[in-house]
Amino acid sequence: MSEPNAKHMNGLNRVVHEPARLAILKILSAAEEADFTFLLTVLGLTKGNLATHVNSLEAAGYIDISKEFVGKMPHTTYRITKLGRCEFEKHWKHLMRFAP
Amino acid sequence: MSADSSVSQGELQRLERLGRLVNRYAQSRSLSLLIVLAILLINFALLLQMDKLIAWRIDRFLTDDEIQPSEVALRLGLETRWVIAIVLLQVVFSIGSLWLAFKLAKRYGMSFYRADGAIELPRGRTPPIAWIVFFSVHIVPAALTEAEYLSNRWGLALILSVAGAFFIYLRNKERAVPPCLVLGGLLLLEAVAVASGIPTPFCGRSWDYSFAAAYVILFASAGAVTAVVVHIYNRWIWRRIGQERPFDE
Repeated sequence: MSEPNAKHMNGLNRVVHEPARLAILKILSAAEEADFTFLLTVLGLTKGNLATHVNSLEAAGYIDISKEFVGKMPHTTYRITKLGRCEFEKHWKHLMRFAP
Repeated sequence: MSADSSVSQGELQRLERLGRLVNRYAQSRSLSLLIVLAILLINFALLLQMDKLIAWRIDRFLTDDEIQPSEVALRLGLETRWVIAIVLLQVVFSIGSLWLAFKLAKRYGMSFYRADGAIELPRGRTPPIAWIVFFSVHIVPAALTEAEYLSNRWGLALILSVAGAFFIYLRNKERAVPPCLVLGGLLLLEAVAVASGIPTPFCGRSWDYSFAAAYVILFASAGAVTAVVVHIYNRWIWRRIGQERPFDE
């Protein structure tokens, strides 16, 4: 018997299932690309919390992070990957059917 | 919505609304696209008028080494070298303004809303053939007016209709529904107004640049109204996004 994937439990993707990460993926799937300031303002998370969640999503391969400097200011942009979009849509459909 | 529990049906619907609003907001922020297109069209109108300053007869162009001044140039007392200088200046201005428009749009296109953060949708899905068809169809009313087959009034009505229809076509291809829809709609309205004989600046004049001047004025005023309308719409959407914010940490 194959070992169950740690990301999945009861058919749910645990990385995507967390509400903050679900909201981040929802925004990125609607806009394709957004920067840190936009996500922070739209979601209402703290900087630290947002950074932790986007790092988890990047580690799972669901988003790409690109960092650059605009003048002397660092500018971080997030883009949803194909895998991220696929996993998010699958999970979203599942939630819409079974959420309380 | 709390950040440490699973989501309910109501919260999912709220997220769904937020996603839709963010998509609409991203589409309505594409004013930079309008700036580039407006400069393209103004340059197009300017270049069309350059032939007024030089002889445009192919047989003369092929047989003479020197570009002959047109009747307009002669009437203005311009020598050939001055005609060439003015034409070159117009070409340099056109290339320079296009380069500047693309550079500004790339670097500062969204600076108006910098405080909101950056957001981007993949655009540029209009096939090149659509642009070629647009400029080809665009040139017909201008050329017919130049050749005096069409009056300024009907030439303007046609060129505005083509531009309006093209902007409405662009709305989904460029994922910029609000600006393209408003601008396209306004250009079509202007076309109807011009065709029905409502007085338009420069339209009834017979001097050489009247067609281009009337077109640029009508296009620029439609663009200005669009910018104001889309900006108001942007702020309204942004406020609604604030109301749907899922967390409050």
